[in-house]
Amino acid sequence: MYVGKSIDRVDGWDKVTGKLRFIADYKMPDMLYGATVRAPVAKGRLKSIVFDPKYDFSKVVIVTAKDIPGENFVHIIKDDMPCLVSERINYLGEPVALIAAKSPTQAYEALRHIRVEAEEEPALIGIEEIVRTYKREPQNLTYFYEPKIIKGDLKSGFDEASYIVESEFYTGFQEHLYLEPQGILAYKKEGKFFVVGSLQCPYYVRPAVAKVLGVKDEDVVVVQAPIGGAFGGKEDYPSLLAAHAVLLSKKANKPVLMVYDREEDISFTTKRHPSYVYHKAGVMKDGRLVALDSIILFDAGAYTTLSPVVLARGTLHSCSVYSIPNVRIVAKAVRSNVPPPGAFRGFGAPQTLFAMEALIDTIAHRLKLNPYEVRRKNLLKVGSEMAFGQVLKESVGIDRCLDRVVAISDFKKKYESYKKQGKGKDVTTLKGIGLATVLHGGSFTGSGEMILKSRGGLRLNKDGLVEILIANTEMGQGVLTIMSQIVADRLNIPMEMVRFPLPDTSQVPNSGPTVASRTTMIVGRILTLCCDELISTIERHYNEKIRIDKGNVYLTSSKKRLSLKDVVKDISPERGIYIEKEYDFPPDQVWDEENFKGIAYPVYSWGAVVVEVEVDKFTYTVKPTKLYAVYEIGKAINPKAAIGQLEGGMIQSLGYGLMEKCEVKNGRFFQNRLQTYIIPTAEDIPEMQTEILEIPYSRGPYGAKGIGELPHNGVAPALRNAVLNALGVEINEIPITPERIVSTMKNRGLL
Amino acid sequence: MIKRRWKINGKITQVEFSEEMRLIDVLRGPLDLVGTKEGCGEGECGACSVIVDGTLKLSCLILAATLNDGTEILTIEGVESTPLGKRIQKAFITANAVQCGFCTPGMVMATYYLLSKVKKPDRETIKSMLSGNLCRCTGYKSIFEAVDIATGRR
Amino acid sequence: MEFFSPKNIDEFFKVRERYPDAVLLAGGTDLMAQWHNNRSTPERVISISNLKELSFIKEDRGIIEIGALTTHTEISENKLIKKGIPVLAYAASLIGAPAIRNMGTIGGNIANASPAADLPPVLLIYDSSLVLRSKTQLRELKLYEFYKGYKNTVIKSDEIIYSIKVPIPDAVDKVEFYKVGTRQAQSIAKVSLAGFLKKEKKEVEVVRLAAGSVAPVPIRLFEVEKYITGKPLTRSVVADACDTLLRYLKPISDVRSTEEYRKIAMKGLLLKFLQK
Repeated sequence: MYVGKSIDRVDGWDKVTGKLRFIADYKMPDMLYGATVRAPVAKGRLKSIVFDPKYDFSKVVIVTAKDIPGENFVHIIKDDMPCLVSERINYLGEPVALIAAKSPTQAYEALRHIRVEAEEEPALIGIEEIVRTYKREPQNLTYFYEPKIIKGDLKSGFDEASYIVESEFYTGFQEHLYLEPQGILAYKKEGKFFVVGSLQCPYYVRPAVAKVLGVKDEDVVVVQAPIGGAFGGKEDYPSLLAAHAVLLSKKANKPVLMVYDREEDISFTTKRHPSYVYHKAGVMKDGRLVALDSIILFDAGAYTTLSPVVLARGTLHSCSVYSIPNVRIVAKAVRSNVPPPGAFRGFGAPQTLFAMEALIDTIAHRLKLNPYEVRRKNLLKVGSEMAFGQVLKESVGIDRCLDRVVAISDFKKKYESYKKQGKGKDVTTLKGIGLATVLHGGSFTGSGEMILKSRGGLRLNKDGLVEILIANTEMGQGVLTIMSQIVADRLNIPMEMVRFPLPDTSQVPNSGPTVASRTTMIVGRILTLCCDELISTIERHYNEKIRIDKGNVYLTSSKKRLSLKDVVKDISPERGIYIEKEYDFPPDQVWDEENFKGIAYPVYSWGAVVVEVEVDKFTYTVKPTKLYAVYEIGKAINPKAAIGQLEGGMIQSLGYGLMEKCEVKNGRFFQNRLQTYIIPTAEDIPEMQTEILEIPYSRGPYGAKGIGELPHNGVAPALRNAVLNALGVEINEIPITPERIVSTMKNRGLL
Repeated sequence: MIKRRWKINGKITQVEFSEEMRLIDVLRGPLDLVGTKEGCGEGECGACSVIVDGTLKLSCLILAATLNDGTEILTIEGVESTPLGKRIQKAFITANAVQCGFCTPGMVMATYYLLSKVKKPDRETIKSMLSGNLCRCTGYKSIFEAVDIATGRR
Repeated sequence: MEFFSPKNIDEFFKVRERYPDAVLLAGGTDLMAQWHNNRSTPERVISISNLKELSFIKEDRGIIEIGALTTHTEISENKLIKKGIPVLAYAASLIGAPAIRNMGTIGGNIANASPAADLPPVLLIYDSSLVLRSKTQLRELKLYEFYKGYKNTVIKSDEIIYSIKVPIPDAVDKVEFYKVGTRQAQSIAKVSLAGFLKKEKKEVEVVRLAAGSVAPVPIRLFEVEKYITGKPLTRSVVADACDTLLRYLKPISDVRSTEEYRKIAMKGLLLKFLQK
């Protein structure tokens, strides 16, 4: 009925008329505005906070670490990140104190009259510095996580190889650039602390705030406000911002709204981890990979936050879609003095997939093979064993994606013809075509879902409407619509009878965070279990089988017809019928964290991407002209919405590969305004053609797998490979700006 | 304090505000017309787009006091009640040109402005006229398709 | 903040005399963004947007005169400009994005004195002049005489940019403007080159070249112009012209680009202009 159809999104009208209120649009009586006082050095010791005696600070409310009633830590994975600096400073801009005032102008005015004095110490900043240190004195680095993958016999693999290909790859920071900056509103009501905001994970924020306040989790209520884009940037950062807003609200005894302006948001919130990947590959004459020895370093910034999980996923995706018999991967999440990077669509995979997909084309280039052939020779399939020991059991569509994308883009012919483009005088642009094949594991890595024990709820209420009660948040990806389609189909009721209220921790169970491409696959499944249980509950009450049709319940034996409203009156008139189910984690999905081996993800989604570019011979500017993509995602619950996610993710990946320069100078983000942090505009979009293939996943709702992050994995390397095809130059760092092309060519004596 | 008399979404409105307030502050503050969004404050994202005396402008870059009495302002709240506006909004939904919705008010305003100047713009013109409205969710293609649906080209 | 909004030019000069340090606000596209980023506003602001006398485009005896408050949209769409000095219309259409073009003014683009501004290089190769007006006087000067240094001009505190005068060239072989931005739209120039070329048979008779974002101010490339005037544009002349350029050009590395790239891109743009 609904699943598989391109239903209009249920929240569309409020968005298109501007009626939907985001957190910066919320107003409460007596509401104050918060601002943050920040550390002026990247590493050091806080000496004092100096308040200008000429300024009347009685007009404002000030909070420092001394005001924290509970623990001065923001709980993410470990408890090593302070809520406010008490003594040690570990990144430039680290929060030291908070201000609440009657207006943002007054808050900024007070901010100008506060000075933070610190003793500066030498800091470790930048992936280049991290790599230099790792090569010379690795003992001087601190690691948050050090996973390792070993498979087969590396030495014999290299002995067998005909060629050795080595290369180093770098990827930079990337800013999420959600159009809506971070914002949280905190207030106290009926003895509880309320946190309302632009946040992906209400159940992450609740315990973090409770710990800082020194209260029970239940005394903190977290409610999601509509989210104007997140992409992972509002997964863990809101816990810190919420703690700040709540501390101010508690001291002022008034509601406090903290909304970052764009410069503050870019300067101090989470980013994608910069990476360094070294690959040494043993290759046969026909392009078959027989050995791979790799080092992966992620710049993890000042505190642990999510870096271990990001590195884990990055490491597990680092062999891309290939079956390689002999592998050694050594990975490290390195501590440094920048604001901690965090979750960002892809979560480690875009970095390592860039390196591997670029390596494949480097191999093809050096061995004079076609990149399609090299990929085809090494492709994973059902029955393949991945580097960490997982044997693929089902739903592997990568071969079909690859063949299809190559067909619709005419890749093979164009690749050869562009390679032969003369350095002719009359040619003002050089064309290039590039390919990348990628994957993305759906849901939490390893035992994550087993530990989460996610629970979702469904209530058939007094009005005969079905309420979806989960903690998963709509941030544009379409979860409100998708879940409604799934529930409506499973119960065979009209979608108009389904409601999905904004997640509120006092009203919904913990169905886990809205991250890791897990929502449809895991929580969608939980909802189908709830639907089935609801039907069973009704059947148990009437002691006969039922059929639901058009919102009516038909008792099949007694041939009676009841409305859903009638059924609720019969079974549970006061509170409605409430069903809650836990995710049924499959017992054979075994992951050995200590040895980093086993089933990393229950299933993978797959994709193949082709990018065509034109490179200007005078200015070395790269213009993407065409983008072809084929993705295998199990089942598109809503094809229109799926295409929207795929296209959006690909353009984000395009920005990552082409223009989103994000440099840190002296600990400070250099491109920290929208004028200088460059993301694609409408005029930067190539012609796009996107296709969806479906190989159903046996445990996914209607066969669905995850799709949210997959499209951010392939465009950057495909773009890089297109530039290689056009110029014959291996560029191994992104973003591939003209400056980078020119400096690479100069360093190699080509300019 | 500055006093002005503007026509906002067809209604004559008295406003009073302090000298340093921007038009976006007056709209979102005392007038509670919060559909107009602030994404950057420096005129780079287009989320604050409004139409002033028939011209598309960025309300975060307008010092409110510079707008004289009698200025006509159209915001996203006023677009729904116009036939062109309604057609554009329906097309955005049909084309799935809305995801998180934060850029949407500005994008609708820019589309409204475009279609009030050019009846059936080609793809080049659409891209150029929407180049001042950043979107991070959709990848823009569905937005171009929405404009084509609104003009009947699709 | 104290705010003034004079209704005509006489009123303006009265207010200006009282407050020589007040900031003049036209379209706001540069200043409002600056004030936002500094999280503060000036003490006194004089808005000049009501001075309708400064908003005009007219032609008189082969010279197009554009009032300082003319917007970029108006310039890019104006028939006189598109016919007589079309590359100015083109450059105006590249500034920012539609809403910015509706608000920004040519006077602001010049007065803000950013080396990355898009109109000045084109105005320079069209050999434009500025008309500065004070309460009692008008003075005219060449645009290249207007810039003193980075964001610093010769304008006096009792003066305002009144208009820009651009002579319509009668015959020309090539007039072009190239802008290299950080992306396809809405971007500040990393480098830009405007060129005006008139040949006499095979030799260069008149050439004017101007560049943006490679010096503290928008500059005429006088040395390169001098070198190629009177010469045929053979491969070696063009190569030597590029060498001349690179010899004295000293661009910087900044948030948008690097010194190394700017040099190479400028050479590329010059090659592009001088080649067939």
